[in-house]
Amino acid sequence: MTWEASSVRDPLNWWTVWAKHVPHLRAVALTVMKLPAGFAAGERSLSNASHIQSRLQTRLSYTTLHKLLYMYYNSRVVPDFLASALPSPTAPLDRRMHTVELDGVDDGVDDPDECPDAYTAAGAMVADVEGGPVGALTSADHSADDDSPPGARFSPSH
Amino acid sequence: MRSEILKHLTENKRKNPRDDCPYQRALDAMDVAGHVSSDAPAAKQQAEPASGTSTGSSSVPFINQLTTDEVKAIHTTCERWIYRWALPLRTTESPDCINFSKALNAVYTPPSRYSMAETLLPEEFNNQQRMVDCFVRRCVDDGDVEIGGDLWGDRLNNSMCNVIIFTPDSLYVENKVSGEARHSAENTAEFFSHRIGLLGARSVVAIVTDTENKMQAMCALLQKIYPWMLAIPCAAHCLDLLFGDMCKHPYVASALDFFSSSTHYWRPTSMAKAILNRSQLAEYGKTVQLQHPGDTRWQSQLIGTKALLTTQCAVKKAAVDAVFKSECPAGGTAKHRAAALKASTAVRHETNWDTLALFDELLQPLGVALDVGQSNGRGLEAVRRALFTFHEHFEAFSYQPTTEGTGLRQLVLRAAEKRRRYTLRPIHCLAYLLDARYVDKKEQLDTDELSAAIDLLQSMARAHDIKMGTRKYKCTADKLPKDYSRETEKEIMAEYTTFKSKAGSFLHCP
Repeated sequence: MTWEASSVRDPLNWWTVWAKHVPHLRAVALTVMKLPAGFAAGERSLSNASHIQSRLQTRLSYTTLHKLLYMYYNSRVVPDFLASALPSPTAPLDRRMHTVELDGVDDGVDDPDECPDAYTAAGAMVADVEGGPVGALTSADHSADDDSPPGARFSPSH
Repeated sequence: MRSEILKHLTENKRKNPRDDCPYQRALDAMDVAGHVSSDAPAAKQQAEPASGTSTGSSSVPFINQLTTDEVKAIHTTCERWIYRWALPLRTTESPDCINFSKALNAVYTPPSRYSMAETLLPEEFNNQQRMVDCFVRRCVDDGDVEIGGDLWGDRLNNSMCNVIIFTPDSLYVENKVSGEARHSAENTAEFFSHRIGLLGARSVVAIVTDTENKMQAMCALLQKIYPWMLAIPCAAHCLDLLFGDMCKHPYVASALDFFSSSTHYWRPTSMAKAILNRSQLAEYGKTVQLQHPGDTRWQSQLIGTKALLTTQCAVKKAAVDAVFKSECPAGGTAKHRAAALKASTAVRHETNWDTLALFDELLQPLGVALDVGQSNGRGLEAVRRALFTFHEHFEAFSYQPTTEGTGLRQLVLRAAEKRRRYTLRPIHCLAYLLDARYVDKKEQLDTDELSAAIDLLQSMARAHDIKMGTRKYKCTADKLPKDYSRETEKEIMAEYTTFKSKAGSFLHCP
């Protein structure tokens, strides 16, 4: 059986869902299809930084700017239910506030039992997060993957 | 509305007597304090049972203190609102915001800007950082990530370098402020190398930057250390440069000059703008705003040109309007009078409009590609396709049959070829090869491109095997056993042949 090129809409989805009998090529193809073509996202981060450090807030230090930009930019990418997975001092209030974010459907469901998957995932993530120190990425042990020590020194002779 | 809320809350309370909602307490407190709207009695009447016994507000205390935990939870919600929408920190100090929060809960006061910046911000930042770290770690464990960066300066003239991680969604992770050690290619490469090391060098597949020389040099340095890493120049930047190259031709430049001077005259000059608006209303029934071009954003020239062409008739009529002729070329300073004369003369020359229309038509596909490239970071496979389309469009375009037209054709084709060589990397060609949509297209890669893409496919398969090996044996690449699995490298070409022949049972897997 052959496939038709005209039936393909999104190549990344195509390689994700189809082509399971060419697993090695699929693994490489998925890597290739996920690569970004441009740096618009980076430019957008700079534009967001200019928005935060507006003309009315020129005394904002770069440390504060970094923190504000970090939260502004990343809150749009990291799923919301992760944020709600953080230990909450008052569970009922917090749960009420994150109902829409947790189940992803604006149906007003207030009962956590009605969205067990989100809570299970959130619970797993809490375990992950609580397992590591703050900034875990920066202190994670990736030595097994590395061919060179972090922060290799560069010189023009390289 | 309020009566409905009161009714709902009262019914809710009857059903769940232990429900301790702060919002309800606030409304109850407002009832006691007499801050009730005119429809409240009717609502209470509806809400009360038929027997007429009051369930009422008299049993609810006037002030309900919030516990520390409750205040903290509300603070968290408030700060997330401020931070996630990049609102000024002083927003919570505004009387309206305080009134709003008091209306919801009479005993709650929003945090001040100082506690927002000094106490709450670091705490919330830490929480967010833990989440992002965790998210990135999971992405790294599941597959690969890409890294990107750019240099910029803030309003306080701090020179910074931003780091973005693509998972493939982009995450902003870090910035570095240069001190006395400037952002040279070496320093920036060292900074990136540190981040790559933390992510796991074999997990970072590519580095994406703009086309600035310093960043390109940095990429070259990193590729010497991490030879498997791909350097991808930003396609949108490259297209922008192609746009810029074409705008340098005198013929195109004259069109842009006409556009620029017209927009600069008709847009900000109050009398001229008022006359143009009147003319637009009479012509189209609405006003059309002219667009200012940006300095190095070449597509803004195209957008501005479109806006000017849209209102061509109205501009022509405004230039011969009686009020315009009596007021503008005669009033104001000498500079204003000269500008008015120049603008009114220029719009009457049909050649200017024709050149502008040609410019718009010629660069239209480039503008579309830039739009797509800037709005969506993905689509590596579409870069080669876009370059095919440009070539076809620029070849087939009907240039004017004059010496200038021939010169423009030569310049456009030369610029397109130059930027194609600069933009196109083997990874773009490989992405084109692996895109199932383009398998049957008549435009296919030439021999050099094909050979480079196949080489890259094999080296990526090799890198994939090494990465899997290092994970399996928990060692670095140079300490891998000699017999580690090279299955991907062995099978990749056979599987590629299967893919190209469109053979095999590509059945949908639910």
